Amino acid sequence: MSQRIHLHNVRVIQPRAQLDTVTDVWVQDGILTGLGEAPNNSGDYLRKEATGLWLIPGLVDLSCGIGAHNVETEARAAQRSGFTHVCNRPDKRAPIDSTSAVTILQEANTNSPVTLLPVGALTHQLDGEQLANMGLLKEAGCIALSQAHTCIKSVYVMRRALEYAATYDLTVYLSPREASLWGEGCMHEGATATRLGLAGIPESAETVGLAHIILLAEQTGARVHISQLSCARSVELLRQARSRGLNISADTALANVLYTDQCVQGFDALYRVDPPLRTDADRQALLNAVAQKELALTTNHQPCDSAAKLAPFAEAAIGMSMLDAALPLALALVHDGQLSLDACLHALSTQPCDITRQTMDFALNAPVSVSLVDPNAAVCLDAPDLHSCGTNAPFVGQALQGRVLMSIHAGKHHEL
Amino acid sequence: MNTTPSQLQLTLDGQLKHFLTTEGLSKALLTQIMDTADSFISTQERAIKKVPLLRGKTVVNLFFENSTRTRSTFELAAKRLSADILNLDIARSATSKGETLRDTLWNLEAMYSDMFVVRHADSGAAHFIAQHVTPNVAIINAGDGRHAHPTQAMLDMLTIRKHAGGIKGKVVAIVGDILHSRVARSQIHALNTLEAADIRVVGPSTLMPADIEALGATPYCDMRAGINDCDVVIMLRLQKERMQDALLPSEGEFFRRYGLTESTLKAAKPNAIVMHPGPINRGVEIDSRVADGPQSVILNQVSYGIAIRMAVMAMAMSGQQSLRQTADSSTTGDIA
Repeated sequence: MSQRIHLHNVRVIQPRAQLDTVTDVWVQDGILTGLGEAPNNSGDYLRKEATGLWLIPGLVDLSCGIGAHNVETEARAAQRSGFTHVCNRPDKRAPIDSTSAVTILQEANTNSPVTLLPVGALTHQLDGEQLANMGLLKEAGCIALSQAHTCIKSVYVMRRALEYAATYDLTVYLSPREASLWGEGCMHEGATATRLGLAGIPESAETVGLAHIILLAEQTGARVHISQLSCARSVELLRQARSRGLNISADTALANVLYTDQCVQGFDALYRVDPPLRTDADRQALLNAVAQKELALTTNHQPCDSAAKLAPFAEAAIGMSMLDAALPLALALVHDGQLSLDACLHALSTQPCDITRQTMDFALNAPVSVSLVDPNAAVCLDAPDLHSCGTNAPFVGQALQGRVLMSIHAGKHHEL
Repeated sequence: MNTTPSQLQLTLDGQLKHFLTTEGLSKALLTQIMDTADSFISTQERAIKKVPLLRGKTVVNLFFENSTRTRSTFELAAKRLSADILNLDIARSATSKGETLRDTLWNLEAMYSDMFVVRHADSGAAHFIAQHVTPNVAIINAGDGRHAHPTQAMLDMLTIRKHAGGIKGKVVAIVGDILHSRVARSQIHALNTLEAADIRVVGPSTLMPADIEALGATPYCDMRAGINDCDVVIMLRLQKERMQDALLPSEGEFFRRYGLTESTLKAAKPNAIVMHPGPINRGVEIDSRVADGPQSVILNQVSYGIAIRMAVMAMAMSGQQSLRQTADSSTTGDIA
């Protein structure tokens, strides 16, 4: 049965179409049939009062750790935050280094309310040594390749991997890191790590790795995306490279613009993340780069079993479950005046959409991927309310604002 | 955010219920620990050394890292308090069979243990156990990673109080591998609270933690400048693996630059005391003539170790008992 909806008096915020206006919108089965002007059969549409509500573009998450068996729960969590596309990064347990692994993911994603974009492994089993079958992974449907949160120890292998990926015009997502400087570190190297006696990860563990990537990207001409910068000096390095003419995209994790290493006080393993939370100066620099549209934002979502965080800090699982509240957390920065709504949507939708080469137009008689949001609706999630299978969510119990009421994607309308 | 270790170790009325770190404890409480230990020192000089404070209580020594010396002093301290003591070498038992730390501890708690003395290679392990695993068992931290070794720090404070004429206003230098030292961190917190005038940490940059100033200590790379006019010089043990980690070129160079000799000790005050948490590497961080010399109080430190451990065990158990009494009386009140 056909789904038809008429949104009355909605604020249409569609940066790609350069639209920010309050008007009426008609959508039938995911196709925009009327904008300001009603379609012929407008009487058949279900009218929904949308005064005070926003119609925003579908958000695109560049990095999520979702196993094939968790696709259903995590897709619902993503939908709740307005995501219509989610990149699934490989990890050591599920390296996505074969066509069958890609197929399994795609099958798990059938009937899902969000589109899962498989990101394959850059090297076989993410070992950082043998190149993965990149051509076959692309044929199977991988939109990019990644080394995820593991290191390529040899700069030679990185050079060859980038050259080979360039052959197929594949985007390579790389988290900058130099393994020998990272060592056994489990949090930012600074006063908090010193106080707690935890092994620190110096900022050079990231910047040295970033310098390698930038120089090899320049040399090989590969299409490189830098995943999850965590420090101010990395932003500087990126700016320098861009000023030389290098076309390179980059993102930072939501956690790194929300929290600092001081959150680890009391050995709170919830805040053990990769890359680590750094100083407030780093947080500000990253946020400023997002505000300047220099960095995209990713949830860096990594759900964990409830017991996985219950261990001494250095033994606890790494990562945060962010999908359930990513939108209200990002909107908190907007509500606080730390980020404009335009920059926020650019970081969560426009940029990642370009990086993943997805089409997301907002044009008459074309399919749309959008979410209807009540920006002021109170959101306070307790652990049982989470759709994600990960309870490692720092926002549990936190009073936030911004609720997705409906998502329209891939021809389907979902009321939430 | 989690409860900080300092909040976690106190009852609502400010009594010790765990002993996890010296950080955040009041001057009054640190002084009470030293006073209580002082009172036990006199009992240790008697023919019958036992006191009945922990009679009927079960203390479990949980050593996830080997340490014969520290474990022995805790065992002796528990026995002198008349507790039953169980020594568990976890490194070689349950956890190596795949049982998680939490499962192991829940099993031990189910055996009606009253106190765990915990040593673990991970920073925050004792704090984790106190907060998430067995909140009704008193936890005494016997060393967690690089984070804290509070009983060692307190026996050092007692040593300074007894042999340097108090702690307030004193200049104290801690020399050597500060980066990996839980002892140094616990000493710095205690010295700050007990109002030492100047706390210096001395060593090469490779062995100095980032932003150590934030803990209230001043870093020095030069040994003579670092111990200049000090009242107390505390030497730390240097582990041999530091050479493999490219942190130091050789023991010889370390001794030459940072070893405490009769000559370098002259930079300190003439009556300065020399301390070392042990075991000593003679000829690596300290010369034998200094270690065995008139300014050394290293053996005194060892002898105060049992008294300090008796003091914190007795105080933490008393804190736990008062918690239970409060809980019992409120339950009785409900029924009434």
